[in-house]
Amino acid sequence: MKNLKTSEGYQIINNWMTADQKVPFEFQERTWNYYHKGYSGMVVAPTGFGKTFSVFLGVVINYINQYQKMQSGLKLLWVTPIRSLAKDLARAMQEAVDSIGIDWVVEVRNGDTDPKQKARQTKQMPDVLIVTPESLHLLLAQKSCDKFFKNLQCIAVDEWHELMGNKRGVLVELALGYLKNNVSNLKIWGITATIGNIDEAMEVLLPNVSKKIKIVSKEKKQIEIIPVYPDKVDVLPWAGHLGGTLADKVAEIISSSRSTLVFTNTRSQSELWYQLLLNADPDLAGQLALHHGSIDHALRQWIENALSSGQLKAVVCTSSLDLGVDFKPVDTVVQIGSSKGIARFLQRAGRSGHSPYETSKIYFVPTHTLELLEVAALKDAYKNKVVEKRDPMVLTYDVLVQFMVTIALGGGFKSNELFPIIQQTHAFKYLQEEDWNWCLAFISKGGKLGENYEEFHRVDVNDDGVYEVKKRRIGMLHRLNIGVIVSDAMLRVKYTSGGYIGMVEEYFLTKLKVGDKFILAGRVLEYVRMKELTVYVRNSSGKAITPSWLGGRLPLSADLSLFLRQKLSEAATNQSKSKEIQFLNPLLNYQQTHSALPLHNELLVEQFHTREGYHLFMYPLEGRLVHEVMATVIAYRISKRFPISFSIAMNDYGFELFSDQPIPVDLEFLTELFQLDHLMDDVVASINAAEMALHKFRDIAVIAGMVIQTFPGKQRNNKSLQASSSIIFKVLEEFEPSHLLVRQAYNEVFNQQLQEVRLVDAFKRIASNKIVLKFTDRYTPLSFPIKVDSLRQSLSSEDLTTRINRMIERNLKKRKK
Amino acid sequence: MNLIEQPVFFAGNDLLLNNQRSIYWQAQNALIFSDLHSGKSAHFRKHGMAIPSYLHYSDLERLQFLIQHYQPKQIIIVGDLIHAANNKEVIDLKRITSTFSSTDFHLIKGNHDRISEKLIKDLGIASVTENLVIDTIQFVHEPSLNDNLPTISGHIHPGIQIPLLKNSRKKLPCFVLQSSQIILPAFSKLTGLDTTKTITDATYYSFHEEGFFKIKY
Repeated sequence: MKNLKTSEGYQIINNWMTADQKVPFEFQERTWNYYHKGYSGMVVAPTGFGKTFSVFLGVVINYINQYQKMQSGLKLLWVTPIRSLAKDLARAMQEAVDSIGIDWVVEVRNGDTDPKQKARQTKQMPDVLIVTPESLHLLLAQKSCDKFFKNLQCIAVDEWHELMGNKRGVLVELALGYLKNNVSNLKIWGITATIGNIDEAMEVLLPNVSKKIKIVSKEKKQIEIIPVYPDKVDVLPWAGHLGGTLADKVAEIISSSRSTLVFTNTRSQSELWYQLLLNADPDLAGQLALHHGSIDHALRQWIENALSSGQLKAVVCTSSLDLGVDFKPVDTVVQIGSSKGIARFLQRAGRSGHSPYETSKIYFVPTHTLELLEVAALKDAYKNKVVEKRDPMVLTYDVLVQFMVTIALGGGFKSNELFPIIQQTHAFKYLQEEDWNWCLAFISKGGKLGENYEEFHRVDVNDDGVYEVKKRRIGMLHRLNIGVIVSDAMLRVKYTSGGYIGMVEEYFLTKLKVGDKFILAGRVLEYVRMKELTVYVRNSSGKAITPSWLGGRLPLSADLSLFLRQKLSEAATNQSKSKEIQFLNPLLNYQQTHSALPLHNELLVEQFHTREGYHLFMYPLEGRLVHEVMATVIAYRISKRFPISFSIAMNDYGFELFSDQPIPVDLEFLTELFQLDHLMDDVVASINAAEMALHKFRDIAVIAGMVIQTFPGKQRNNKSLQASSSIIFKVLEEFEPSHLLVRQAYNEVFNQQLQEVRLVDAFKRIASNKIVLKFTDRYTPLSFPIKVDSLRQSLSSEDLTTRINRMIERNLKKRKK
Repeated sequence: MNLIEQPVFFAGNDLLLNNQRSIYWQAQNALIFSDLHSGKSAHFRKHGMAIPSYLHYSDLERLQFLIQHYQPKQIIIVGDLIHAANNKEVIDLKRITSTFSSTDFHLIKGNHDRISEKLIKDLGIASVTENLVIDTIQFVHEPSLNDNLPTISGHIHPGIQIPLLKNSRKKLPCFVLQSSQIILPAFSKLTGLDTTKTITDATYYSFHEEGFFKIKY
């Protein structure tokens, strides 16, 4: 084989770039070189440095070098998680091949693609096809799909960091495993932004590939992090209340920038800030837009276009704009409140200043003063190049059975041929034969005991042992329901006079009565009526509720909490030179005087007593989710020794146990409470795992096809999905507890909800820490935010009978009145 | 099966409620139950929900157990015997009626019993009527207080809620008793519960595997 640089393909590309006065980045050339040598691999580079063209041009060069040998048909399959990116990507690629001078056709195939075009593609595939993981699976579900991939050279998986860690990543793994086996000499390239476990990410994408290479760009995005300081330091910080006072400063930032993205963490927060900014600077009207997942798709599209063309001064948004096309005019990013994670913060920062050597500017607006600590922590993390890991999902049986039906549709499979392919993927490396057989029974007989599932036999086994879908209706329903994103049953919001505004969650609407007012897309709307899955409203004014969308509250990431603990520790020993901490000095001193500032190897526990009752505060700084479980376990362990009922509150920094009786803890007992022994047993005993698993099971049942979400022309609403899956779950729990999908639901609870690994790590850390117990006579800067901004829950160690008796008693009392 | 009984006095008669979701009326040697909804899981499967038949079999087993235990001369089903269309699960009922061929099965037609009367009778049901009066008690499907006679009905699947840990609740089925009516819990476990407590001035006899308890609203 010729050397890359002397090859015809390289010459052509090089000339093409030179004519455009461009010089390839070093990592791009390395990628071309390794592709040239037949490698698969992973490209790690920050956004804006031409990641796409590293892999894409590698394939083009290779094509030019060997075009005599190439046949017509699909050569490059480009998988991207974001549908909205596909079009722009296709345009950019088509422009490139046109001006290079090769006669390739680049096309998109996803949910937005015109059916006519899809039909044409099925007859004649373009040379490059851009798909989502879901549309790739849909291709695999077509009979005789093999012919599409006959001449496939390379599959590129873009934004792999966005896929790994969720079930869509597993979709990709399965499709790659299958295609690798059916297409000879297939090369697979991943493209990812920096994450904490790059090597693992490559292993997950390319298991059992010997010729693979990791290519990391040396280029680094410069980021400037600027905190927005409030005028004065409140000693007792209070979540949310700072917002209003800082809106003026944010408006100033906006007016002195060309175009600004204002990131918030939740949809309700974005609605709030949209109003705040308009109040702060009425001139912004018409130049300020609101963008989040519940806003009408067409409107969002319009906002994105207006941003690109520079018509908008600022957009208030949520994670809805974390990813996607670059908006060239945006030169400033504002983050409202904690970003909860390092990667997310840097990703958002990178949305400004795109050209490779420009510096991205991000302003951090604290929602309470204590959050300024996070700025210091984020700066440290950025300096030390620490980013969170993404943990790949394993043994997601729901995705597996869906995939098996997909393949059974696309021409069928034999058990002994597919099983080894599945086992070679990272996600199912440890798939047991017994469980594989269970999955086969599940798709063909509905479950282990076929007689319990008549009418639910989806896949037939023919005499040659080939599993295939024979029933047309099943094939059609399966195709309609391929994918792993279970929608959150959103209701459409429309004016009575017509005109679509956006979506709200069904859950929010159940709390509203006719005549209630709520805010959506920056407008005050009055609820008039609901029909089918549409809510009719009319314009209104005055006081209104902001919908609280579920799932808005992300916990603090483990890596960020580590830096946060260090910052607090530095502050305690007066070592810190960071400006943020100096600014916070009055608050930190107050904490030090009335209680203590925990060192990095200490756990601070505060105890005090008010007229309302007895408070016990602990500050592990491990993020809300871990605190929730930890608080429940600690409460349970205390109540094992004394019969006592608690109410529990927490935030990202710590948690509170509150009781109307004294909570007798001392250092010795505290040490005992944080013991690692029987930790998970106590977790199981203290939480309602069944309830949590039931919630997880809803998605699993839909993905596995036990409940069908989409019928031709209509979608089952959330309430009925919830009801169906909960009936199935309860029946299975009672009669078939070994059901793989029930087991999976519990595993997901332990891994995701209870964060078992992180919880155990936290207990381990605390076991080696020194516990500092302080009796205070007032709320401290650390405890006050927990007190005022918390989701409260109560926990009691009383059993069912006691509860029943109490209810009866209460009932009697009521009757006596 | 753990059978626990709760005697009550209703409309001049001694009745035995039990925690297996039925009533035994000794004076008439009658077993009374409501809302079996047979064929429901098969019906759901046909419509794209993979609910296994376990509860169907366990409901039938429980019914069989009760008949063996009480040896009733007649069985009064207060409606909703059949959930929807005729299917294999529905036909399983035939096994019960033929096993206990000396027992008369009477069905009060419920809103769900929409298959033809002939098909119902083919299952071994002796009579299908809109209502039935035995002694002083009238049997109807939907609760109603308008009639002069005290009634026993079903239809609403009454239940109560018990607050548990955190924000979770446990729901339990119950009998609703008033001076002139009894509302039966649904016999099938594959049913939802109405816990809205819309009926006031009533005693709710709720139960679980270990016993009964009584709540007044």
